[in-house]
Amino acid sequence: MNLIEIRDFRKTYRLGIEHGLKAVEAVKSISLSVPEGALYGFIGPNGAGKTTTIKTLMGLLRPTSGTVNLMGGDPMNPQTRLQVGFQPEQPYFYDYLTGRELLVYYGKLSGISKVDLPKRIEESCAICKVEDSWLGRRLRTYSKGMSQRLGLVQAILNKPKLLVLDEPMSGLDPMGRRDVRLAMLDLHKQGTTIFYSSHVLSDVEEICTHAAMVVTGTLRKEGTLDEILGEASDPGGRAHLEDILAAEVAHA
Amino acid sequence: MRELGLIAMASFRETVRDKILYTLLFFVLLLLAFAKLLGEWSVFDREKVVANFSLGVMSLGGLAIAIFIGIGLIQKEIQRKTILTLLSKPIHRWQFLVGKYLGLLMVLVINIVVMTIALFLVLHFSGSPVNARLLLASYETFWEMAVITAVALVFSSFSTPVASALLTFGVFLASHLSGGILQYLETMKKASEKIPGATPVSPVMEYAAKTARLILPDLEVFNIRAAIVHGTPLPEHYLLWSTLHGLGWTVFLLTISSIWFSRRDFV
Repeated sequence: MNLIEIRDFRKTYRLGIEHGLKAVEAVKSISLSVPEGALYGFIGPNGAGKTTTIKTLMGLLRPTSGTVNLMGGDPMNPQTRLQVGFQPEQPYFYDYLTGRELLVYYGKLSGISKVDLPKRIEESCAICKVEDSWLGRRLRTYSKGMSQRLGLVQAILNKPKLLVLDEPMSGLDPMGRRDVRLAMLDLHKQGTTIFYSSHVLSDVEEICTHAAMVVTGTLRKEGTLDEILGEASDPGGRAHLEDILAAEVAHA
Repeated sequence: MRELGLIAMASFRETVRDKILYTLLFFVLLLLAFAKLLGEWSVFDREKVVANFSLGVMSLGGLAIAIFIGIGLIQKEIQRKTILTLLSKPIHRWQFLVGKYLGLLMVLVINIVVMTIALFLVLHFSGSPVNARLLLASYETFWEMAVITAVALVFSSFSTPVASALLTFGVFLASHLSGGILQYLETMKKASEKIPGATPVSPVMEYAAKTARLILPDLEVFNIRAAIVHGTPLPEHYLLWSTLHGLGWTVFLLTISSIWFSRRDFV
């Protein structure tokens, strides 16, 4: 079963009056499928349409044309998002709430019972290496890395079947990146399907089972990682995603 | 309902910890204290001057809170992108909007209680009688603020913060003044018919005032300050009628902003 199914997705934005209401095509054509159990890397250069696709997937944007299916339903329907966790790119939170208040708030909104919530917070923090002492602090005192980790904690609180992460490693130091990578592997091992966008191609190559590559709003490659790397390999040895992406960008 | 309560409580908690609320409240309390001085400077009807000015300050203070915090409530979520995480949770967009509104309403209730206590203290220390009927004026101020906050929410669901603030203030002024302007125009019309050669009333102005009266909430309904200060009785069932007026407009405005909000993209 595919937990994400995108067909002929196109998204056009209209710029503000100051830009003469000009239309900008952020995504021209993307079709992809994320099977259950995959650890799926969504890669491409800046401005390729990755965040637009992810936001549409989470019901934050409406497609201009095409279909975007999440867990077999319409992303705009809250019921569809019940078993989905999401971390936006560089997550921001409320300045005046503490880390614990935020997790309790999001946890309850995700439908977790009052009885289960403390245990779920503890477990999720342990997976993401978030220390208990952070949770009593107001969120405006958090560093970028701490916010990023807390963003992952809130996304996995409800034990989602599908985890959607937009650049989960951006702004993290090498140790932070390693911790997030290990957390993702841990969650994947526990059966969570993960769809994430990233610029760190070596990470995608190391941990993903599947990948999709987008360049200037168009899907260029999709499939299992072996398929993508195998297609491009030459007699001299196995290709790398970096080389494939560079070739695709050069052709765009 | 559970989601509404959760969003309202979080929004309430966030707002009461924000310094801007206390800055606004401080200025309102300062103005209320000024009412005491104003009373001392007045030659006649000292008590009425103090009460009238204080009730006016309460209304304007509530307006400032509704505009500065009401608009920021949604706009801050959009600009700081906290809305992206929140709307990805299994909630409807209208629940987010109404929950935020209810949270701010809770803040407004507390502010009105604080301002009413301050008003009673000012009256007490000015030597003016503290009349329990003043509570009715506070009650009506609450409904006025409930409606104006809903207006602010409509504008902030599709417009920029500055434009939303200006538009909300414009609605506040137009809805308070349109009735008076219409009355004035009516008097002028009658006078110009009787006096030969007098300048006729501008039809454009009349049309604008009538349209404003028709499409905007009538905030003058909640202005019972004169009746309270001068001790004149309110018409029968007035409180019930004004409550229904406030409730009706609030529901209508929240419905409009929810429809708007549910259609917009969060880039």
